[in-house]
Amino acid sequence: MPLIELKNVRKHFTVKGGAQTALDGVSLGIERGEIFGIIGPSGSGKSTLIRLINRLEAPSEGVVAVDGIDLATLGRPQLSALRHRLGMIFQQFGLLSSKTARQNVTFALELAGQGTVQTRRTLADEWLARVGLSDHADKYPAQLSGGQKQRVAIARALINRPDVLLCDEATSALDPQSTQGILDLILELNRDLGLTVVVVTHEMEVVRQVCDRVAVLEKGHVIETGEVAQVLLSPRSAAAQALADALNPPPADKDGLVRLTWSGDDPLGDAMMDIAARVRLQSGQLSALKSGPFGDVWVKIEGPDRPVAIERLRASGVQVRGAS
Amino acid sequence: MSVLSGFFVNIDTSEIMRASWETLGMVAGSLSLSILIGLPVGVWLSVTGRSGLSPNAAVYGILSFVVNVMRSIPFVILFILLIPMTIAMVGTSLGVRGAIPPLVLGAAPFFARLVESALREVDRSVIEATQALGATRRQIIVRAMLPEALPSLIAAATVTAIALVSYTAMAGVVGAGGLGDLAVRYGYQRFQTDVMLVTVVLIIVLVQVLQMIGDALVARFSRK
Repeated sequence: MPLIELKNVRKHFTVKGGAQTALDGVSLGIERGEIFGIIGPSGSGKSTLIRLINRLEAPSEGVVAVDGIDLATLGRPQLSALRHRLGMIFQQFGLLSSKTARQNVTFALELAGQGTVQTRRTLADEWLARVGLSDHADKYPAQLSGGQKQRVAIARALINRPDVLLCDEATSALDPQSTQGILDLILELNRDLGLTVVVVTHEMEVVRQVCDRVAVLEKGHVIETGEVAQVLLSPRSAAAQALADALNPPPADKDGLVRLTWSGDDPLGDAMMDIAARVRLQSGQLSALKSGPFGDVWVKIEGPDRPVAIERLRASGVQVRGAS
Repeated sequence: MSVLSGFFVNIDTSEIMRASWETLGMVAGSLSLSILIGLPVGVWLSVTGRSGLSPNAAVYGILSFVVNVMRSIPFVILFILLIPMTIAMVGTSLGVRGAIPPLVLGAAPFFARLVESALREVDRSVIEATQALGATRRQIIVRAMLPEALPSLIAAATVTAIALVSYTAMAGVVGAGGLGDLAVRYGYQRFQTDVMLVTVVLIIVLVQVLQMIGDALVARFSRK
């Protein structure tokens, strides 16, 4: 049974001038210990979707269940208890400006009624050290950078040792370097604590780096779900295709170019062995998915054995696009 | 020198001291009570408002209507209208004691509105994050919204205190004593320009001091 399960969920909002449908029949399951991405353009309903999981929003129809418990059956005290088990971080951090970094972290323990003043402080300092902010415990949020604020928010979200961390566009307000730091931290926490993570984002780059599986959301519908490698290598929907293409934009002159995409070790050397063909890299990137190495490049393949090379590449599981 | 002492011939220091203390007493007493009443009313307005924590159009409508009615009556008229109630409550409609109930009823709705708008300014993401931490509604208000709004609330109390200074002067006209009473009875009715001048200067000083204290406290508690 998945840890988090949505069954045929619809969500309508009443806005000026009538009803608006944010989610239109969404079903998905998120397994314990995985990092699950929800990607879609703005207005696709992804923020609404993640808010259903800790019931910041209630569905208009359908069931949202965590650990097999339908959230609709929970009263207020149980809902509070549930939220202590589901940490959440936001694009705008949501730190109390009137409290220091340490006070923001102990705040989560106070709300949950955990510990004494002394133990709360000790635990908060441990978490601040874990997210790399030992020197900033007494600073107010206004004195911290965006990346540091998000680290405080992560410490605050995790100090009650939740099973799940919900990330709503958590890196969208950050510069590339801070984004990288936060993504690395999320991966580390997932690995070390077995934390289940749900990542809502509009950036495929975030999904590529940290997610095991991804759901592509468009206009309130999940149009594709699958392993990240599978969605990147052979997207079935136009929307997923567009997101994958955005990771590797073609060079200005792509005449005669072939796009190669693979997951796993670099296949180029083996494919070219002992034949009269050679590969010239034009653009693209070698990077890593959570599951391992990943390549997505535009190349020129030249020589009489070009068809053999392409044949071999296809045979070794490389996605070859643009070759006639 | 003789010109000056000749000009200030009507000044009775002990009378001025007494009137100043009366004004201070009225402002302090009515400010505390206005905050005591206005703060919860303002919280209710903010909580039940359209984008509040638990919107409730009926409660908000009634509360808002009452606040608006009280705020639309000019203070001098409110004072006179309330005389029967004031006598029933504190036994007199005169002096400092008699001035407190109408001053509070004049200032509390004003302060409540300022509280409402101060709470509306609290960052939406802070409230949502606090909710996500499992806070109850009460915890969200007491532990997150009020501390976050503290500088604005202090500024609101300062504005209210200064409004109360001018209300006390008007109350003075209808029997409440204080500097306003002095200014009207001596300065206006007996043409004692020197008394008028001294009371006006004292009121200006009082307002300046209140503003300075308010600004200092706002700066002390601001973290943004």
